[in-house]
Amino acid sequence: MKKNLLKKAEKNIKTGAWAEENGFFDAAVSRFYYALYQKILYILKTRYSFDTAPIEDPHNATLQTFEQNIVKELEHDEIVWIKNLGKIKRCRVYADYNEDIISDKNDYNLMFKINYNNISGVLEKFIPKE
Amino acid sequence: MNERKTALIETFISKVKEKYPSVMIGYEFCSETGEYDIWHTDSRLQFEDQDFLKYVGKLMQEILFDNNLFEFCFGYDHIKFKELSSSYNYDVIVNEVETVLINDGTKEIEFYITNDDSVKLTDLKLFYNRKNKLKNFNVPNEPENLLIVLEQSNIYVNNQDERLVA
Repeated sequence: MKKNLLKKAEKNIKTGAWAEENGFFDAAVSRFYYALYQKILYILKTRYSFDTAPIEDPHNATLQTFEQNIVKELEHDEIVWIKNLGKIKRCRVYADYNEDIISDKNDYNLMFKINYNNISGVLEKFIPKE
Repeated sequence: MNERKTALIETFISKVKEKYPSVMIGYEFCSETGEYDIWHTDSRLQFEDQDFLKYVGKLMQEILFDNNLFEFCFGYDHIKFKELSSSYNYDVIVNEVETVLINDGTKEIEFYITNDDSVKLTDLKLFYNRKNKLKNFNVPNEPENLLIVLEQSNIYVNNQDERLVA
């Protein structure tokens, strides 16, 4: 069942890629963020016996639990990317709720996508290959 | 904000500045999440400089994690970069190697820089009101150097929640 989180993540990645290709950058940020979040939940459950996130402020609680555990297993440069997760979350909130629209691909890349790619690269180390 | 944690964050920032003096770096505390948002505005360091990442990661370990401080995030902040660079728009003209003329539309300020090696463009200190606008740059001499200086190291904001460490 835990693998369903990875399936959900894959669906969000495909949706995010489609949104990105069509210039819907706010939607892409949101979908890619949730793909990362689902992978983090999967790693927490399979590696650190994490049960469920608290009802109150679940994203922050999950991310902090994840970061505290995973940094012990990372190289220094990888730590910096994992500590970027809070930025990614803020960017998702911005994309979802801010009145401004992310319409420029350069802004999208600098605000989100390059960080996302690097964080995703670190997470992949902890996800078994099929 | 917790005084001990704030002191650790400021120590971390000052150590980053020690090695990368031109980086514009600061932090904000979010009372809702209890998290410190440490931001900087140098995308090249964040995305192209592996030594920077290794150095910063090591500092995080030694100064923050080892003191049980995990409630922070760190990284290049493009929104902050745009916000700050669009808020500080000035006409900047370098006439000669030794003179920098700043014109904000209401007054002109000249900075005289000697050709002496002891004084660099990075020694410029500019204090401006956020309301002013930066229009364009015309910097024939070492433009990259001056642009970096203007964008990253010489903007100071007097805001309790948004401290820039210089």
